[in-house]
This record gives sequence, structure tokens and C-alpha cells, in this order.
Amino acid sequence: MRRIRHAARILPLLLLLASMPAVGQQQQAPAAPPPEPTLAAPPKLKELVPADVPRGTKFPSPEVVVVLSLEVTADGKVDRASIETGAGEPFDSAALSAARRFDFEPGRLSTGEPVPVTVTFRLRIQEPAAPPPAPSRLTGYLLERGSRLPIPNVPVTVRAGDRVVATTSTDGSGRFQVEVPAGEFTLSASPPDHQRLDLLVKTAPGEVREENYLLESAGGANETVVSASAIQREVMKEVLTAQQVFNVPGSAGDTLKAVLNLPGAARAPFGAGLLVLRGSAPGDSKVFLESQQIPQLYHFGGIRSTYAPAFLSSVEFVPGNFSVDYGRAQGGIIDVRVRDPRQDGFHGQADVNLYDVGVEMEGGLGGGWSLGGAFRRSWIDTVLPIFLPKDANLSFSSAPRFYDFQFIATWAPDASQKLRIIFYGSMDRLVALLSQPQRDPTITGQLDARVSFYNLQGEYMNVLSSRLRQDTSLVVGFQEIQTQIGPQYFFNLNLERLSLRSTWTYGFSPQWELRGGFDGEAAKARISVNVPSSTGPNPLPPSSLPQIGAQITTWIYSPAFFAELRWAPIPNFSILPGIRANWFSEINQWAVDPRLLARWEVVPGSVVKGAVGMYQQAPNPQKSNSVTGNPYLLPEQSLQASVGLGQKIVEGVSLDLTGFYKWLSQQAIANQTSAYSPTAPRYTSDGTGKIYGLELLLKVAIGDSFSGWVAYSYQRSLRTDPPYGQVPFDFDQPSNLTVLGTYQLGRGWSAGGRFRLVSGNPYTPVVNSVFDSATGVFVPVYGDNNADRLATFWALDLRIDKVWTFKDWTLTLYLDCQNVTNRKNQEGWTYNYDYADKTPTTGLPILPILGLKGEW
Amino acid sequence: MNRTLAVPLLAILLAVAGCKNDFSPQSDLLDLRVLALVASPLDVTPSAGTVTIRPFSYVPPGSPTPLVEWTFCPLSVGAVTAYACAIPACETSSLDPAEHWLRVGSDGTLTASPAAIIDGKCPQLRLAAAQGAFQSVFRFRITIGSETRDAILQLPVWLLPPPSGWEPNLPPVILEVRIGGRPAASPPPLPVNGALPVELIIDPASVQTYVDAAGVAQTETMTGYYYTDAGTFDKGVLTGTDTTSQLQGIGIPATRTSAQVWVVALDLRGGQAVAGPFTVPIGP
Repeated sequence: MRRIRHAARILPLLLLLASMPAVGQQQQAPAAPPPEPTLAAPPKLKELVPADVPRGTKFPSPEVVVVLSLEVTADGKVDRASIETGAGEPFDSAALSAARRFDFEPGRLSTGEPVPVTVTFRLRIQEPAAPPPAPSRLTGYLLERGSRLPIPNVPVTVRAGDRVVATTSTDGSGRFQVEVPAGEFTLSASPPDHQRLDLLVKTAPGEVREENYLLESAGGANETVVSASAIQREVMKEVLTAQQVFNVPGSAGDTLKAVLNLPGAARAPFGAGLLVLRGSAPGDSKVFLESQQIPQLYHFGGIRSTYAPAFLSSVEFVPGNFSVDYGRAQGGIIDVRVRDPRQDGFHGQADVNLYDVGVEMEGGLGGGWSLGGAFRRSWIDTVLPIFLPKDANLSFSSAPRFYDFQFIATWAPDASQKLRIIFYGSMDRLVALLSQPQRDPTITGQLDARVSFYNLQGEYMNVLSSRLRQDTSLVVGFQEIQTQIGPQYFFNLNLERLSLRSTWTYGFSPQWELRGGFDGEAAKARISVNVPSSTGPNPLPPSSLPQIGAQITTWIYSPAFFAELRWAPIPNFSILPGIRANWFSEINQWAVDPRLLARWEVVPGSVVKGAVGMYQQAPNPQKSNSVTGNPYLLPEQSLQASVGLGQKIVEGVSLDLTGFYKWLSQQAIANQTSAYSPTAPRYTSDGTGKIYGLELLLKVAIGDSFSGWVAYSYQRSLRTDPPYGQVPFDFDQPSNLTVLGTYQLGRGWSAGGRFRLVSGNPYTPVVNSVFDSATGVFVPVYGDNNADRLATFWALDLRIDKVWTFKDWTLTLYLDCQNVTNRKNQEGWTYNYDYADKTPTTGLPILPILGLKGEW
Repeated sequence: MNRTLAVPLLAILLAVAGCKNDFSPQSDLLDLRVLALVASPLDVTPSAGTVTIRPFSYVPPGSPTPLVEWTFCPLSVGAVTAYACAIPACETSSLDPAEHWLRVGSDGTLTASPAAIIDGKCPQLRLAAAQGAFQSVFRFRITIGSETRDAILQLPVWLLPPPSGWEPNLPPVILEVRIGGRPAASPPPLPVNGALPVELIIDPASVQTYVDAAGVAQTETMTGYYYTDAGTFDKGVLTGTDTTSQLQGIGIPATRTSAQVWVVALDLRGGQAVAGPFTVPIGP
């Protein structure tokens, strides 16, 4: 914009026209001439109209003067204007044009009468100052480098030198916009858990710039174990994020393996894939996917979970005293939480490692919809033949392999409701041929196994009001197990399953909240079975055992109702009494489980908590079926009590200590009398037991550079199964220590380690053997049940990650090396043919898993 | 139901796939061993009355005369308790001077009348006779010095006549054993560090069909066990009616001039047949 400074000078001039009449009057009134009116006041410019010269006019000097002659009328207007002394064009024209628009206070005579007056006017036209630079508009997005996730609510500051010239914040999509003077300035942002942004930016006047600023995540890999939801319904509940699951050393990024590093989880033998929580039997604990049970936890060999972590949000781990929402389990629970496919654009990942290869794609479709899918296949069938000796007594028609997949569609139009469809499944397959019998001549020929399941899960969440919320999910599932071992033994299962869960929560006031719901299952099972059946706790040659054969088609119903009240009489203190009633059609029994939890945050950072409750489950269907077992069994019971203390020690360091005791009763056990008495039930509910222990979890997170934890469990798990006396349970591990941590080395490098020191499992020694002449097999003669213990287990695992972050994607190279010292940990004994000689059976040797993962 | 069946299956695969150890194979006869208990008949029905069981044992050369004991238990708890007798009072031993139920011949062959033993020692079991056959256990114990070996044979003992349509179990019939392509009675020498094929031919007509516990018709799996006291077999056990294992002349002491070879055929239901010992000269 031009600015014109004008400084016209009005000169007292002789007014020629005015003087002429005055001379004439002197001639007409010689006697008494009236006084000659004189010009008392010259015209006075009211408002200066600046002279506008065309933009870009070159001024010969900073100021140009044009002298004008102006005839100012009696009413103050400029009648005529002319140049007296010009300055050339376009200055003269501009001056005339401006002058004609002048408005004067007219000149007046001494009588006060306005009169026309001609004046000389010096109009100064100054060269306009350079226009101020146009502001620059800078629009940008703060995104996490690689994942391109928006970084919302981050203050953004623009400084010119030390002077702050603009501030703003990113919105929910990570977007910000500032308007700043063109020039050179520093753009700064410091989002938590991310690399700081300090960028020198030069902008031209009026420039509009839109850019994405990709910031390295600095804290993602170092998130420590986080606590659960605001209303905690368990004495001990730990949650691992998907990133933690991927990075835990020694777990090879498996969904379930990572949580088994927490206190309360026993170390499962290599290849077993068992879930032993707080000393309970593997079948006593359940794993859920968004509160709906996963039919099969692991692929063959227990190396990989069937639910790949591509759409994993977190894994919740509750080793005992879980809430009334869950049932049909007398041990603990794990709930796998699913993340929704991303709404912002299309993304994906690919992961290739020694075990398997997986791909994942996801993206938003608009209208609140997003869609994603993942698929994974194992390499085992490719790798295994390389390691098989050429003279091995085994050949594969179909080498062991697995597939699993997840498809997820989410509709979330707003925060108050969400619909999600999850279709996931798994398939394991192998066909092998044993060219000659091994130890037992009945184990020969074809070994065939196909295990698969497919679940279609629909979920709908709706916040009906500020007080009322509902969560409902429905699962239609199909599961198939087809196994054939040699010519004699087979087990085939076809299971069609329907499961409905609906939970309603109503908050009466901040002090009172009621939750309740329905959790029902119905399944149709078709079973054909011909397997060896043992009435004892120790392994025996199949050929030495009687066979159980049956063709069964059965329906199993298990509706359950649950309700829980939360009462918070004072701040930071709450009591949650609850009750769950479950029907078990297999045994025609109701089970009513009252449960109670109290939690008190004594001072900020110090929490005392305690719980007691009954947990009941139906016995294994094989034990309760009328053909293969005893339908008059009772529900297996576990009365659980636990007390805990949570203490924040310093920032980033916290300690959880939990003590627990479990009384087991009505446990279904084999009845040895049935071995020779056809009328005796195969199983009875006479088993009892007790489990007690102490769990410690010390979590450490030092800034963004280190995170890890120390988990220690002391526990004893004892069983009394008549006719035996009290003996340690198979997975009684009195001492279980896990220390793990990951350190961010910078430049995308991170290194982590895990060290485990665990008591050896009990085992029953073989003291002799008997030759069964009918089969040529030696049958072991066992000593006292679980009277001996295997050697202490210890192993060190290391993991190194290197992340390359590109503009739109990241590439991670990782090496997860298990048992780096190649320690030969004993997992059992291998006996010679007549059990007179034995050698330790060792577990996993050193196993480096090299993988490459790309995400975009 | 049995969702963990895949786990033992994989364990089997791992066990057989590549896990080697230094144990002596079952086919190597290094010390006292029971090879077979050959019974006749294999089902003790009221009409049969008496059963004879002949033991086949390997006694290392130069050993003192072994002590032999037979016991009979009409009702056993099974393999879980190493075939302990469910009702100890019903068990009888050939070494019990107060008992006379078990007669043992000079070659160790047992002759017994299970029904008579039950009637004499456990008459209460008659009450359960209608439920079918008892899986009775005959236990053979052989002792040389401090070395004792136990072997059992379970035989169905019928106190009442079997139902109509019942088919008795018959033992496998060994048609021929050939060593090095010749009749086993005149085998060629076993070359040191060489091998000789040992072929067991079982009469296919002796392979029976039966209905298993699941009600499924099954065909007997004929199984051949190979034993030797010098050298070793590359495969100690094979299934089929015509199987061949290689007798390998390795690890044979220089003082040995011959090897003794036995072959045992099993139908895995109690039927057993033994061929041997065959003397195989050890050649250069």
C-alpha cells in the first residue's frame, strides 16, 4: 500500500481579481467611500487528496514538487487547476487530478463574505515507501515418521531470533497453521515421546506453504507396562501394548509369549504351548479375543499364537481373581484387544522371518468405515527338511505348516458408537509317514493332523447416555480337528459354536455403578475318537493302555449371567461385589460364583487392593461325556484370594506385590478302579489342591531410553488326587524370575535382553520296567508321583532392532536370538527301550530369528 | 474336546525325526532279556480250560541257572500301576509253597487253569462274569543273581462262554525266516563291517480282522522284532507280513565266531511266534 505524505504550503497571495473591484469602488464613491473589504482569510484546505502516481513510477528524487494554480470557488471547490511549475508526467497529471478533488474552507473577506480566490499550491508528492512484505502462511502436519500417525495437541512456536512471532497447536489430525512475516524463522514443536522439531524456515513474502513434518517416535518402543483401565476390576492386571509385544526379547513378536514374562505365568516347556497361570492346569485358564474365547491358542509346537499381532492393540493379563465378566475358568485369563484399521489413508506392513511371513493392509473408506486384513503363513515346511537327517525314520507328504488370517471392518461414525466385524481363523496341517515303528509298534505308518478354526465375531458398542453404555458381541465359529496316528488311533472333532455376550453399565452417580450382562455359549460337537485312555498321571506306551472309542454328537449349552456393583464411598476407595451364575449342560449343574474386590489408593501412588472369589468350570468334556467319562461330575472349583500393593517409587519406577492363595476342590480326576471295573466311573470329582504364592513386578522406565521389568513369582502348586497323597503339580515352579529390558541406542538402534531363571518342573522317576510281551514294549514302573525335579532352567535371550525411517515408511531389521549361550536346559528325560538308561531331554538350542519388517 | 492331541503328535514327530542318542537298541541282546511269552490258546474260554505259556528268554552265555517265577492275577489295574493286582488276595505265585495253581515245567513253561484259580481264590469275581472276559495278567519273572526281568502277558479269561459270533484270536504263523537269502538254518557268514538281510515271512492267512473298542473293524498289524547277540540290526522292529532287516557286522568282538539271531512275530493282541535262535557264522 502506498503511503503519501503531503505537505502543501498555502501562501498568502495577492488576489488579483479581488483587488480590481476595489479600484473601481474607489472611483464611484469619492465622498465617503465605505471601507474597502479586504481578504481576511485565504482558502484553507480541508483535506488533502494525495496524488496517485501509477504503481512502479520511478521518482527522480524522494520528493517531487508540483506547483499548481488553483481557482477556489466561494463554496470551497476547485474550479480550475493548472500547472505553474510541473515535475513532468505522471506527476503533473496526478497532481492536477488530486487537486481537482480538493475541498477548501473558502477564502473570506473582512466582511466575512466567502469569495473565490486563486491560490498557488505546492503539492509535494513523495516516493512511496517500500510496501511491507506480505505475510507468509505456513500450514503443516506433525506426523509420526514411518507410521504417519498424526501427533495431536502439540504446541507449535515460530521464533525470529529470540522473539516469538506466532504460536499455535496441532489439531486432532496433527494439523497447524500460522501466519508469519516472510523471512527466516525457527519452527519448533516438542511432542511427547517424539523427536523434537526445530526447523529453520525461509519464506518469501506472501508465500503459502503446506508441508508434513515427520517426527521420529522416541518413546513407542519404551512404553512400559501400563496399568489397566480407570476402574480396575482385578487385583493384578497388566497390559502390554502391541509395540511391547513386538519388542520383548526372546518372544519373537508373538502375541501371547510376551505376557508370559509377567509374574504368575509359569514357563511352559519348549514345544508345549501351554498356558499355566498361578499354578493352575493348562486347561483352567482361558484366552479371549475381545472377551470372546479363542478356540485354539497356538499353532503346532507352541511357537506361534494363532492370532497374529498385525491388528493387536494390547494384551491384558490377569493371572487370577478376575472379574465376574469372565467365567468357565478356574485359573486366569488373557484378553487380546484388537485395534481398528486406520482411518487415515491406506497403510500396511510385511514381516518376514525364519518362522513365517505375514502381510497386512488397512485403510479408511470414509463415512466412519475402515477395513483391514492380515495373512500369515509359516516357513516350517520349507525349513524343516533342511534339518532332518537323511536317514530319519520320517518323511512328510505334507510338512507341518500353518496359516492364520484376520479381516476387520470397523464403522465408528462418532465416539458414541462402534460396530466391528472380525473374521479370523487358523489352520495347521501335516501329513507324515513313519517308515518303521519307533518305541511303540502301534505308532507307525501315517501321522495326519489338521487343526483349524474360523470365527466370525461381530461387536457393537453404544454409549446410550452419559450414564448408560452397552457392549455386545456375537461369535459364530467353526472348529475342526482331524488327527490320525498310525492305523489305530484317531480323534476327530467338528464343533459349531455360537457365543453371545452383552454387557450393560449404568452409572447412578460417581459413587455407584452397576454392570451386568449375559455371556452364553452353545455348541454342537461331533466327535469320533479311538485313543488310548490312561487312568494315571504319567505317560505310558499307547499300546499298553485300554482304548476309548466313541462316536458322539452332542450339544453343549452354557448360559451365564453376571452382575457387579461398584461402590466408591470415599474418593480413591472402591468396593466391587459381584456374582456370576453359570449353567453347564454337560454335567447338568449351575455354578454360582460370588466375587469381591476392594481397592484403595491410600495416597497418590500407593494402592492397596484385595479380592476373594469363587471360580468354577465344567470338567473337560472328555471327562464329563457319558460315553467317555462321567456326566455326574461336579463343577471344578477354585476359591481364590489375593491381596496386593502397588507403589510408585519414583517417576518411572513402580512396584507391585501380590500374594495369593487358591483352594482347589471337586477336581475331576481319573478313577483307577475303572481300569478293571466296568461299572466304576472313569472320573470322579475327588481331586483337591492348594496353590499359594507371592508375585513381584518391578517396572522401570527411564525416560525414553530404557524400559523393562523384573518379574518374580514364588509359588507352590500342590494336588491331592486319590489314591495318591499330596504331590507337587506338574508345573509347580517354586521360583520364577524374569528380568528383561530394552535400551534405545539412538539412530534407530535398540537392544534388549531377557534373562530367566526358573525352577525345574517336577517329574516322576521311573524305577523299573515290565516287558509287555504282546506288543514287545517295555512299560515303565513309576516311583512316587512328581517326587523328583528337573534341573533349574536358565536362559539368556537377546534382541537387536534397527529401524530405518523413510519419509513414508519404516523398515525394521531385527534379530531375536533365544538362548544365546546355547544352554542345554533339561525339559525331561529320554529313556532307552527298557528304561534302564536315560539321558536329559534338552529344550530349545540357540535360535537366532532374523526378521525384516516394513510398515507404511 | 481333546484339543491338545496335536502337541503329543508333534512330540512324536520331533522324537522320531532327528533325536539321536547313544542307547543300545532293543535288538541288541547284551544281558538277560525276555523275548516272548507264547500262549496257547490266546483266549481262555470255559471250553479251553487250561492255558500254557512258554517263555523265550535270552540268557547270556555262562550265566548260572536262572530262577523263574510265574504269577497270575485275574484282574489288574493295568499299565498305570505296572499291572498290579487289583485284588492282591486273588494273585497267586508259582513260588508260593502254599499255592498249587501254577505248574511250571523244566523249560519254564506255565500251565494253568485261570477259571479254577478264580473259583478257588476269588470266587466273588464270578459275579462279574457276565460282563465279559477279564483281562488277566500272567507275569513271568526271571532272575539271575541280582538281575531280574519282568514280563507280562494279558489274556482274556472267559468265565462264561463268549457271545455268539465271537472269533478267537489266533497267533501269527511264521512261514519262513531267511538270512542272507538262504534258509535261516544255514545262513551265509556275516561279514565284519558288512551286512546280511534277515527276512521274516509271516503267513498272511494268519492276519485276522477284529473290532476295536471304538467299534471300528481293524486288521491286525503284524510286527516283527529282530534280536541278535552280536552285531546289530539296522531296524529292530518292522511291521508287515514280509519284512527284512539288515544284520550289520559292526561292533563285534574279535573273539566272537558266530551270532545268535531270534525273530519274534507279534499280532499286537497277544499272539506271538518265535523263530530262532539261528546261528550265523561271522566271516572275515
